[in-house]
Amino acid sequence: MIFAEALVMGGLVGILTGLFGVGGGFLITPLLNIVLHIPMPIAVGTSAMQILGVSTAGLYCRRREGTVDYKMAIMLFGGNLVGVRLGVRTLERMKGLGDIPLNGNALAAADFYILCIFFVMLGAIAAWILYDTTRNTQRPDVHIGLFAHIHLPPYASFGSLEERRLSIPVMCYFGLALGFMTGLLGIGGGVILLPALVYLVGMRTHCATATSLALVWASSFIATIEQSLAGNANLLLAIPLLMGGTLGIQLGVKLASRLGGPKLRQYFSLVVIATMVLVAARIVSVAV
Amino acid sequence: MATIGNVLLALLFPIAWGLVTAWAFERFGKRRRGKSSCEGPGR
Repeated sequence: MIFAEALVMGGLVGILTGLFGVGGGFLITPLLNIVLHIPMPIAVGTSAMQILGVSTAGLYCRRREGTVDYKMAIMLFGGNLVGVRLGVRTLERMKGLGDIPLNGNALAAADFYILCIFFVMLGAIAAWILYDTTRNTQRPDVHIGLFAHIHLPPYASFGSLEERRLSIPVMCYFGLALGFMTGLLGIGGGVILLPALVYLVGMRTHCATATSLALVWASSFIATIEQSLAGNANLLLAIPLLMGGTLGIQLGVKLASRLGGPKLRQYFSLVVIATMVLVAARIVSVAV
Repeated sequence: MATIGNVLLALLFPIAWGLVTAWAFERFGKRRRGKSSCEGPGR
């Protein structure tokens, strides 16, 4: 039964992935916990496996484009590697906290804290997308990111950027923060990484998309190893998610070519808000 | 040994699945429509 439910969930998230071009990890982790009642650490670990499969397919499809800035990806991955380990260790600590009594009901501390983090994160993502779609979209692509204004030596230069010199420590800590989210929440980070590469680092969008995908792959690869060692990766759950996801993505891509335009981003924000409401309902249902 | 096997399985299955399905959709999508189904909208 859970196989069929996971297959349907994978398919639905896959359609959204194909429609909006995001990995879907930030939807799969809370939905696995809320809809299928999978404990949060297992949901996080399994989501990392799902992201690894989806990003592998994405990289395969883009293999001839040559738009990945490997120097940038490797530098971010340095911090990412540490961040993923920190995230998984934090998750293990949360697992050890036991249950939280909420108004006579008990909820696992890991589930409660991670649902709260997801609630805040989904709210921030929805707010950002709504802000991004309502402002003037006619302006040219951002070429100088905010990180270029931070002067903290040593520096490295990147051929893909207009302002080529960027601080190495800033990039490493940025990678660490992304990796921490991958390890703790089981999200690839693409939904945050892509706008961050454009607006903070100053990359052009087509280059940012490819570099983001390469980093999400590397990050989910490490997260899968760490989560598997911690006993959080469930292959039997990942199989239907990947099966449904693969078919869903193809359907989503076809739908996206019919819809098109900025409307898609507004629909995406509605999906994010709906997930946020589900997360809030889960917290409230236990607490009240 | 069991742990190493679990880690390898957890890594290899998603990668193999991603590669095989992307290849299959690209190959058979091309044959059907003359354009890879890997290629997203607007290209």
